[in-house]
Amino acid sequence: MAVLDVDDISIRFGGLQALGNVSVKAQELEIVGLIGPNGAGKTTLFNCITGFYRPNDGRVRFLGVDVTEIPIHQRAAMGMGRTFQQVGLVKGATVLENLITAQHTKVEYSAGAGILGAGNTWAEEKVLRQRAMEILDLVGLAHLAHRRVAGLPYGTMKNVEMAAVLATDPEILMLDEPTSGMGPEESHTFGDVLLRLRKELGLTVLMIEHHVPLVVAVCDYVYCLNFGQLLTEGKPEDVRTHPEVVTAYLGEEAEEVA
Amino acid sequence: MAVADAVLDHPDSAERAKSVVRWIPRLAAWGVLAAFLLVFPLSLETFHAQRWSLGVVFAIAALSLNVLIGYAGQISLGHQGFLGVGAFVSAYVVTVHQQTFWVGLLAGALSGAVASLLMGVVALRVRGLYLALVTLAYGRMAQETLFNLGIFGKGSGVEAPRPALLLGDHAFYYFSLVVLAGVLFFNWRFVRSKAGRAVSAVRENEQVAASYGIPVSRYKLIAFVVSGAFVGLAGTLYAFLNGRVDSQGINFEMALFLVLITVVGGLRSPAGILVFTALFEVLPTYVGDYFGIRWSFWLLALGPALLIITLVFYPGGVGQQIKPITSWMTGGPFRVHHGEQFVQEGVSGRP
Amino acid sequence: MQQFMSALLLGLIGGAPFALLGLGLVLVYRGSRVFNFAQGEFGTVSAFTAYLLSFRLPIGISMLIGIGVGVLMGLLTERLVVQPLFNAPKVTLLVATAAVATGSIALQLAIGDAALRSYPPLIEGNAFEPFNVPIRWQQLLVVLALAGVAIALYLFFKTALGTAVLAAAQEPVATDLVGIGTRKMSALVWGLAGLVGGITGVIVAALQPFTPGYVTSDFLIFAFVAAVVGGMTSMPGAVLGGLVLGLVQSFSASYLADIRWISDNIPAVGEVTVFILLIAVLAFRPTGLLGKEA
Ligand SMILES: Nc1ncnc2c1ncn2[C@@H]1O[C@H](COP(=O)(O)OP(=O)(O)O)[C@@H](O)[C@H]1O
Ligand SMILES: [Mg+2]
Repeated sequence: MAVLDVDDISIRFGGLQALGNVSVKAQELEIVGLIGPNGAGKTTLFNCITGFYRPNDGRVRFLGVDVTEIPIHQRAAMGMGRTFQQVGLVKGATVLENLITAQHTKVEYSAGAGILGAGNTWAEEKVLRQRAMEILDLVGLAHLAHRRVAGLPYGTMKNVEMAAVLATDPEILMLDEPTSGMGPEESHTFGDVLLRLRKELGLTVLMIEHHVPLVVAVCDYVYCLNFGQLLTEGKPEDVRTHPEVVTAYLGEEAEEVA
Repeated sequence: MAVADAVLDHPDSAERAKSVVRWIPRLAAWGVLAAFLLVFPLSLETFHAQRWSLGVVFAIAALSLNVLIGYAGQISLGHQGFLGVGAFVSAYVVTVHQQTFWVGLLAGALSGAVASLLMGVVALRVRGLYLALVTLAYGRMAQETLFNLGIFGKGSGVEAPRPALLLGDHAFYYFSLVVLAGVLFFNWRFVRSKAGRAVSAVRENEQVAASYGIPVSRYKLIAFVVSGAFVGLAGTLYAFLNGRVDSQGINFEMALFLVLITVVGGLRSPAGILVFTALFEVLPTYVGDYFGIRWSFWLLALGPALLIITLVFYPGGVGQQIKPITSWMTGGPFRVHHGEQFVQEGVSGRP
Repeated sequence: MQQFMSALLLGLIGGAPFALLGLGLVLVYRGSRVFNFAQGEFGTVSAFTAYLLSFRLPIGISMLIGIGVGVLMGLLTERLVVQPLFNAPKVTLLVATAAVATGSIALQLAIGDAALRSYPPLIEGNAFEPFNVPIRWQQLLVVLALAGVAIALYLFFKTALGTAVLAAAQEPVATDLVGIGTRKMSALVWGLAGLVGGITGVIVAALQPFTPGYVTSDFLIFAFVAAVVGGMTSMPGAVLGGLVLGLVQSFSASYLADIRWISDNIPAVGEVTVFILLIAVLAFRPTGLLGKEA
């Protein structure tokens, strides 16, 4: 059974067919890449999977359950973790606070009990804090625990964001351009971290990524989107050398030059 | 300063608490503060004791408004309308239904919470400027209609007789302080637990909050309920402080006064709010005493000016300015440039 | 029939101040994207000034100077509050304009006092009495002022400058086309708002004796509701909304209050209808009658 099974998704915005009959699968412990030029619909696909957009057509199955109709927070509670292209963090809070906030669905006391300061809330708070520190250790960010997010460099924020999503204890980790704002050196390190996380946490990963060497290095399988359609899919090497993929990217570069 | 910097101790907290010696001057300072709040009021005669109690009432109401504006990023320009609900319902329960004051206090908190929850439901659909308008209109409607309903005496108000224990104005002052302490405790636990963190996350970014598994609408409503319960308590005290309640004083000026002390005191800074409320509610009484009533009008004009100055230049309010002191009092170092700058978020939390 | 016609007339006339004030609100909203809670005080301050001057000067001249003070207050608000908070969230700016309003009320209290003031109407007596409803000249003047201001604004926004003013909030670039910077444009909008507010103030203050904060406490909320009903971005919408609101008030005062149970149990039922109207419009038709965007 696939962890994530996106079946024949279509969505329109007015006259624009942002996604047309897109199907994507991620098997357990796979790292799946999603590539394609800007505006291809990659982020839109993420939004459909996680519930931010309602697709006009198609189903999303997660861990064998059809989640197409259920709200965002419930999908998150089931174990869908995602990052945002524009860094999704509570920027006024510290790194540690973000990681504690992200454990929302893991908290065992009720909201009311917390406000009343009842019973196990105090002890539980310690546990949350500890777990947050463990995750920060795991991704090598412990030294930033008490820094306010707003002041951090963009690349670091991206890492913190991923740590926060890890704190939600996800089954699948969906990353939207995780290495944007990082240099080649950093993104190489990031690849290693990702491989290690998969092994240690047993994660399945779906990753939007432009950085081709990274995709080739870590992904088990790759989908390429263009103008809302699946252009091709397969092993990274095959997709990379696929003639249509090459022209799609070349077309974009030509536009950028123009 | 999102989840309030009180949420987590400063990094050096581990070493900090260890030394007993460094706590001696701090304990002395706490002692002076306690003496001022607890012993000095014994010397006040009735009028001033009542003013001090009123200051405590407004402090509680401002802490309530801080939950909405500060933590949840929701504006309310009709907060006096919720205070009024607590005041009228508690007085009604005690006077008409012959319940004890304690039942009235509970009813005040509950009714405030329910009224505020209803506004919360509206706030799920109506946002920002439009929510400000709706709350403003609610406050007016409450004053003109709700508080003049038949059960509330058709405009002549409701009696709110104090229980024997609280008949004296000094007793009432101390009781108000106890309620304030309770509200501060709940506020503290709110901020440092799941609900407060979720509410803050929703304020800053609803999409991120949802992606953390936080049900956004539910936590907005929770913020309204918490805020409503606080201000309902304030309303109850307001009614029983005066011995009766009518719709006269529960007007838009009160709403703006509450916004004023909350924002100038410092959003997400209970300490700042308390300090500024004390200054701004109690001080004019003495100014009025010594310099005549017209001076209180000038002071009235000073308030809005302070509000604008705060919004433009010091969005962290008094709370930010007294940070070195509050940090020191809670065992931290006395640092003039304490922590980072207040993150400019404005009143609404989101543009 | 008699009851219906009188409610209709009273509603249309009673709605004129809302529409006038609402025009100023829409003007500011289109120019600065903020709800101006000081709009009512632009009016009261003008009226207050006119009142103080009317002891030494002819009432007409006092009113003109009063209106000038309204313009000045609009400009000052822009300079001291709107400019500095240009990048702040709009709700922050809203709170600041509310502070301007209360500050101005407090100043009126400090300079004068809480007493009722009145100055003589420009024209005494009743204009006519259709359906036994006495209509005072002064009430007609409000309607005339509304028509005049509406037409003047309409003509102004036909000009290149006027078009640029309205475009400024959406596209700062458009302002550069007519060679005026965004800052001056903003000052222009607020000056105009002060002008409209001032005219509103001196005219409606002659309707009845007034206290500090009169225009704010008696008209501002209703003017906002009127503007929202009209769509908040539309000037004709504000006028229409003002009249609709006047009608809603007069009909609920006339017909709802006729129902025994309501008059017995619900004080000031008009307030409730207005509140419900506001929530209903915002929840179900946020673009109002003539608005173009939410
Ligand atoms: N909420 C929306 N409303 C209208 N158009 C949208 C919306 N979200 C995305 N789009 C459009 O869908 C297309 C795909 O966008 P996106 O998924 O962000 O591309 P990518 O992430 O692949 O760069 C773009 O043309 C974008 O403008
Ligand atoms: Mg994208």
